Amino acid sequence: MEQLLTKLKTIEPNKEYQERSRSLILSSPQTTLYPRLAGHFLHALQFSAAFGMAAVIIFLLSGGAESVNRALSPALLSGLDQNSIDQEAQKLEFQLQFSQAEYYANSAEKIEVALKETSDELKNAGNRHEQLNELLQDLTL
Amino acid sequence: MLEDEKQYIKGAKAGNKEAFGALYDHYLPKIYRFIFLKVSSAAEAEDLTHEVFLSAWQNLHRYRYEGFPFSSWLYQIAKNATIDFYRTSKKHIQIENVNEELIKINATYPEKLDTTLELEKLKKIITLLKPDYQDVLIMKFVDDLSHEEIAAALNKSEGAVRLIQHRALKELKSIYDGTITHEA
Repeated sequence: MEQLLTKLKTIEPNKEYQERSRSLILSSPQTTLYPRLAGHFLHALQFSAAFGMAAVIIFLLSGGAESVNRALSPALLSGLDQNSIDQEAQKLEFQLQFSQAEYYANSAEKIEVALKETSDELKNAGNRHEQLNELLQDLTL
Repeated sequence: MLEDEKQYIKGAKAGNKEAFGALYDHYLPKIYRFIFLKVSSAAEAEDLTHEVFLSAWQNLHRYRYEGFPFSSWLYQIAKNATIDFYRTSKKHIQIENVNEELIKINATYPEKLDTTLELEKLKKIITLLKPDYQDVLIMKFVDDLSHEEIAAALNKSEGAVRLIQHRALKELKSIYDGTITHEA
């Protein structure tokens, strides 16, 4: 059987085909290592990006965002923390009360002065009235 | 193995077309025979052989000498090319489609073997064997590769190659003598 198989060695490719194929192959560009390395790098980059995205999605789906919000938002996002908002509101209220009290204090002083001036004017007017009455009495006498 | 093969490979890797041309001239008949005996026509064998050498030329930087000749690497490419060819074209030869006369060839073959017809019959019988059997028989008896080279090309141990060779010869002889009914 082995001898039978060795007879198949007579099979040869066509000479014309051989020449044509040879020239076609040798006229084609030979790929170098560097573009392939760049290709591998890009492939690795794509893979890592896809892997990262998958990790983020899994993290979000597993409720990770909520725990991060709880842990970090008082430091980074104080506007989202209810306690800090309440504290700020209370401070604002106190500031408003203080300013109102100051306003009332200042306005009371002014009113007192104004009232005093008015009472003085009234006194003066009363004195003038008395003086006029006295003058009228003197004239009638 | 080609004389000064390492120098030719080194030159071809550096883009030397003449160096690769020498490798091509030396290995083309063997690779062509290997593929021709596994496909159904000369045209298909020519196309696949062209693809094998084109792929070898374009991917030569991947080849690393690890104690085995360049031919082992070429046979690996050729083997994968034929597998892809059958996977895409689905041109499997079924036993039902083979002429019964082919199966009934008797022991008078030595006298008739010189004819093209007899070679064609033998070729068709080889295609009925398992792919591993085909590879080992063609590499060993048609292309004269050593067991070590065949083992490297097929990613098997030398012991496994010898075992496959023994079984392949037995099955080939059985079909050739028409003593058993081959099951595809």
